[in-house]
Amino acid sequence: MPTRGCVTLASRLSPDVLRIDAQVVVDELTAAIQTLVVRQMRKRGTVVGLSGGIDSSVVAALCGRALGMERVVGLLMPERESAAETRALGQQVADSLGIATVVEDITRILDAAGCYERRDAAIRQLIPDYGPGWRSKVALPSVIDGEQFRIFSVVAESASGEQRRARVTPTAYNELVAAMNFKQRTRKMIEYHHADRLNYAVAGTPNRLEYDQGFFVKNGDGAADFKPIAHLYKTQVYQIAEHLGLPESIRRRAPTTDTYSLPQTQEEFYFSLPYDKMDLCLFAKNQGLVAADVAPAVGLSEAQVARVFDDIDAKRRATRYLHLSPQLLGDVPEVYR
Amino acid sequence: MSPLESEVRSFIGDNFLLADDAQKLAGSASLTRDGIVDSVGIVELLHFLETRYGIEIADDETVPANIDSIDNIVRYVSTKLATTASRADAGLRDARV
Repeated sequence: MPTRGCVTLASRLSPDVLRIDAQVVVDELTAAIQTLVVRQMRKRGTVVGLSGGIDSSVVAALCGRALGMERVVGLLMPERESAAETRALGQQVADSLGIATVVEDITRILDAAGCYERRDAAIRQLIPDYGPGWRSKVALPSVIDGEQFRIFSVVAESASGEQRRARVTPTAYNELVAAMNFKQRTRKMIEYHHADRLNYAVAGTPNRLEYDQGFFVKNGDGAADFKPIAHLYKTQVYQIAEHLGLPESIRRRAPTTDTYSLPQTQEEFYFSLPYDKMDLCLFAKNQGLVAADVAPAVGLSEAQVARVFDDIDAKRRATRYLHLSPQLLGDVPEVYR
Repeated sequence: MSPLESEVRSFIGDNFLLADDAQKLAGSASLTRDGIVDSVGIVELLHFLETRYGIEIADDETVPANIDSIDNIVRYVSTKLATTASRADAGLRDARV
């Protein structure tokens, strides 16, 4: 149980506590990637799915530094509901690094799997008028505004701009998520296809917030051969991006899920706060600070920080299963796991 | 054990635990903090309460004091049902007048 006693850290809690020596970290990570990918996995290079976001861009850059840019392939995998800038930004990163890209539009696969159709059917359970021309997203109420449980709502917008919101039912929610997860799982299937054909490893791109809080699809974006920035807070990933000279358009883009047809920030869908404040709360909680110590640094009340801490714990509990590899019920000691 | 508590325990046993574990669960145990129910489980619980007892649970009523333990659920639903019944009685009296 944390106690109010970490006086030194509490008194200097600010975004500066997450400052890193980016050069040192980059050197450590590139050495680790060389060891993992080449010496241990015996792979020739890496495949990285480029979303046009900060995390995949930094991972591609680190892999290129470690193995040579010619041994990294960036995959651009848009579908018909991807944000317009996603593909352009992904290509821009690849061009700035000098890595090869492959464009794989996954719309036809998603269509054939029934992703859009199943999603629409799930939403129609809540909003019967939902159909062609409508767009949608899933949203959560803010954790800092009150004690109420955070319950997902579907927000849908008709072609004429009329917006509807409906609290999910268990069946509609589960069917909606199951349909949308086709997107992440299809992208991962494509990544492994290219990894297999090239004898490359697949690099995963979660940052610490996403990894810790289970913000990924099991066997979708959660699958990878290695995850080089999963221990780094998001603000630290930005520091590395700046150090590596990644394009400003990437460094300025707001974190997005780019999964639903209506624009949706990660904060609106999953996290309680903007990433910089979320980082600081997660760091402080990991250091054993209590809500009262953290509140001034993030500009929230003690009660609000306490709710953020509770939400962090709740997500860790709820997503523990996502982190588990397939569990054996008896020992097979000959196999290294 | 009241019929209401018995039904809530059965629902929890059928959906989140094994039946025996649900019967042994302390009435005051936190369903969320003890990891029995996650955010999707809360949606399932609300849906069960609304459909089984014909009540409407507003967003601002989905707070731990109402939903986070068997004791709290039983208290909240009982109050909700009593309020609904007294409103129905009042409506009936108004109609007679």
